[in-house]
Amino acid sequence: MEFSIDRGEFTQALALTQGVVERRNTMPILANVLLEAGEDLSIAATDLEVHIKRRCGAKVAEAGAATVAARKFYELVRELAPGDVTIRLLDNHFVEVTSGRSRVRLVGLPAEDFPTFPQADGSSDSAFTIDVEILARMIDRTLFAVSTDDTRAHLGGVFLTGAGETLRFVGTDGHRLALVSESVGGASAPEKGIILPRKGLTELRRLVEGRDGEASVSIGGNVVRVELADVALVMRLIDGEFPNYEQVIPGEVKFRVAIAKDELLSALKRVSVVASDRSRGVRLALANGQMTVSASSPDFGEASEELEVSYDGDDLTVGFNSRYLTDVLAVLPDTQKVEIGLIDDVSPGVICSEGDDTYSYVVMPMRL
Amino acid sequence: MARIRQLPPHIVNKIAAGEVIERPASVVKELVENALDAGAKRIDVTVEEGGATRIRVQDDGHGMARDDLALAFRSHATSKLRDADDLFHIATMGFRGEALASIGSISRTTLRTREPEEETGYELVHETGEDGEVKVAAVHRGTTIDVQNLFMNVPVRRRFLKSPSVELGHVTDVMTRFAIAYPEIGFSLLHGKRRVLELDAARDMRERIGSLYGEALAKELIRVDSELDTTRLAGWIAPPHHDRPRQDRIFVFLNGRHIKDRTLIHAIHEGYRGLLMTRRHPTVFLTVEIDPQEVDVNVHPTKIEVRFRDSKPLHQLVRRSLRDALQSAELAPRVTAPSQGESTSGEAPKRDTASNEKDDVRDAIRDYLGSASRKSAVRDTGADRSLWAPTPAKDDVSREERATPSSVSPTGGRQASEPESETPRYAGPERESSERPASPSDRPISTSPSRGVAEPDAGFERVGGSFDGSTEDPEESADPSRPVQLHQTYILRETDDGFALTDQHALHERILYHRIHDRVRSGTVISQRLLIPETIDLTPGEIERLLAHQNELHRIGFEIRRQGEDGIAVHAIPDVLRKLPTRELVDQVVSWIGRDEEDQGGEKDFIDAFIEMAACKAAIKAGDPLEVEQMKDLLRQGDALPTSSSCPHGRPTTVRFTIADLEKWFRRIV
Repeated sequence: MEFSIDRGEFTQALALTQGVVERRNTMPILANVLLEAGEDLSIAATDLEVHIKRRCGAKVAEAGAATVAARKFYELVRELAPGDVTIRLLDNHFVEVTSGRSRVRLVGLPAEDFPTFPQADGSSDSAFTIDVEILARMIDRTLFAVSTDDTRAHLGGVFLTGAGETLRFVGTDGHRLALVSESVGGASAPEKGIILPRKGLTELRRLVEGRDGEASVSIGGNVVRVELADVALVMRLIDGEFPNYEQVIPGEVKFRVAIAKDELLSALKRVSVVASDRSRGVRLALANGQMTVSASSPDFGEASEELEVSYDGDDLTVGFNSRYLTDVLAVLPDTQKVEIGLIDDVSPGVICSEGDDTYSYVVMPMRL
Repeated sequence: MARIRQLPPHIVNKIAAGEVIERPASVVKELVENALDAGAKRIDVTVEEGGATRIRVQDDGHGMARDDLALAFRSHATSKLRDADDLFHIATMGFRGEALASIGSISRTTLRTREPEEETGYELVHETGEDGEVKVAAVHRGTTIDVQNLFMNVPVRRRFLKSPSVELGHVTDVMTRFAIAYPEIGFSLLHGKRRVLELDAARDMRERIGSLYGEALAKELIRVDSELDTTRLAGWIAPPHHDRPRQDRIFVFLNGRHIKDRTLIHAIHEGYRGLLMTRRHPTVFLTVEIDPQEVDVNVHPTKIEVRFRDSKPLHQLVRRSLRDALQSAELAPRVTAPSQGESTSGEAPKRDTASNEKDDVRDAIRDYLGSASRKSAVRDTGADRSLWAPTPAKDDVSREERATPSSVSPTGGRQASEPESETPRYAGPERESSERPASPSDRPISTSPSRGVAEPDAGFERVGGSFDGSTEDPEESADPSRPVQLHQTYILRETDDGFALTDQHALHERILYHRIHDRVRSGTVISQRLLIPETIDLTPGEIERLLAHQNELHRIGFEIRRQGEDGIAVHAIPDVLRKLPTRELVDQVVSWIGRDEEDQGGEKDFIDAFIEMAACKAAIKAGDPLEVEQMKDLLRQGDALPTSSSCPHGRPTTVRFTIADLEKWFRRIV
């Protein structure tokens, strides 16, 4: 195998694969990237849960395949002088990198040991295309709410479901839940729903960053495959029963309050400084035309801030984990007011952007 | 068909003997009790072959009159009880009148006695229930009872006797109990020709414990002495590090009688709660003096079990007294230098005549050691700094941000502060050199004590010391109170009389334990409601158990409701334990409540168990690197606690070493 490629383009392509490379290093081959030179060059990495394959143009002198330590290879290529770099497979799986006057020989592993990239077998259960900007936004608005807790595997990913033209993403960790629905052309998302793992979505989000165009998504067996112009990503689905999320969304809220997003976000950040322990609990106290955000703890002190709001309901005080509130405020648009719907101090609160019915966020109160 | 007949007295006695006399040790117990009731000042016991062939108990008490001898072996003949009312204020050890009759019915027993004021003594031989002739004999003042061939006519019992060494062990246990309960009385125990115990009258219980278990224990004993109404509790308890794998050093004497009472033993463990590891037992010597009317000792023939009219106040008294005593004592185990053998004392004179040259060497070594320790301190913290340089810098920013909220821009996204926080990362070396000449007071004060280490998660990142790790500053490294972290697990610090090592996890756990405890008491435990109530299948018994404690569960942050026939729904959980699977959490609570029920007495122990678990989960772990300021803060908080010498699991938090120990190790003194 031998090919030459522009260093800049090569660096970018390698960067995309870095996140997937297995860190714990249980199988040495998974710490490597696979380089396959044919008509063009493809770079693949996997941790067996998520597979990623990037194609890029290269001058291929001799077809073939090689693997080399992903991180070392990336570090090296990044530091090479601008211009073309030539990669050649030597005996004993050594990979030679030449660029200008530098010549580096890297230890490699047999390419045939590298796990095969799951091929589309054409028997997908469902398939649709989606605008990558919408896809990125849907991930942004749900992935943060996903559980990081290893003991709740079924909550460790975003639930994807659809009905007709509507595609829905749901993320929850059992304390709060984010739900976004977007209408997409020609969608046939699986009604039953699937759970996309956090890591796969994180990688996918990275792939679509700054891109436009469409992504085609196909779901089959226990994997989902996402194709962009020059990259393909396959992730294994999480096997498990996603909770019945619809039952937790209150049908009717009793009290509604609208407030400028930035005001609320910065008030929360200030007040939660004195909030206690890891819970970062804050109280939202509603009264006519006014919301008081407060927190206190015996160890740090107390803080409160009054905000003007449009509210004419009963007086009500509810406690929340302030991080659950700031998390969602961070993904809501700056331009619209935030609407908070409440029932009482033990029922879920609902947060959304005023006038936007595509997104809602449900958060459980905290007893402080 | 067999006719019903009244059993002849000798059979009755044999049956009673089966209850009272299980083994030679029982004989010793009964006879020593008799001796004590006779006002003896010295009791000598001799046994042969573990007591199987011979048990002799000799006292110097008031003896018996000739006329009484005829009744001595009759059952229910006693000098100690006259009517049934006496039973309820029993002040003597024996009272049932069964002991001698029982012993006499199953052995050949010789009784020799002389009253102090009489000149002649008497001897009576009694064999398997039959009295012999009362003879005049020359005998010591007091009573000697010589029991031979125990169980001679009860072959079954005889066969079931264990080896002489086991039986002797039981006899020794019995004697030890008497010895502790009656320190003012001299005791001896001979096995054949071998002297097992030789205890002269002691001044007090502590002296007696010293002769039984060694001065090392006696020296560390903590005095307990308290009263409640007519009940008096006194005795000595050992610090937790004298713990035992069995309950073999828990001695409770009720009105002078050794008893094993579950309530009291539970109360003792409660007193030590949090100071002992699980399945370890304390060393405790307690006497309880209680109005005889408040207790029924006539529950069991061997009187080891008793029944209290109301055990609750006593349970409380014991628990509180022990806890108070332990809290007032300084509990950190001290490490003592290895005691020096004879050889070193031989060296001593040599050192006295040491030449100046030798002193010079010593000084040189001291200098070397001094500089070496400085050097290593420099190296350690130097490494820390380079590793942690970004963190303190970031913390500075975040602290400012928190301290002066108005400085945060209204658009203040997460990114806002980032660029600033990045810069010091690369400015490390320059900043360090520019800071070096600054006097220590110019250095930023890194943290207020109130914003403590003990804040569970973010706490440590937040307190993160500023650049006060500028180790090149000679004043800094000479700071005597400056703690050093060893292997990211232990904190070493200088104390007034030496130095101390602290386990960072154990201490932090102890601090959090108190903090969470306060929260539970003040009802401010933070509870997170669940989006989807978690349904958990349980047995009907477990469900009842949980529901019966709804209020307490609510206090520690749970909200639980019945869900169908065989399950509960968890609606809210304590926020500190949110990372744990709910199922595991509930199972844990159920088992704690179950344990409480078995133990009785100890109300609401599961709350304590909950606090322990929460503290453990939230505490910093071994292996977490700490900044100097964090360590100081941690130690400061530890010092402020009422009991900080052990973590809630009973592991010690701090071990102290004295300068004298050091000097011994290095043979500066011997």
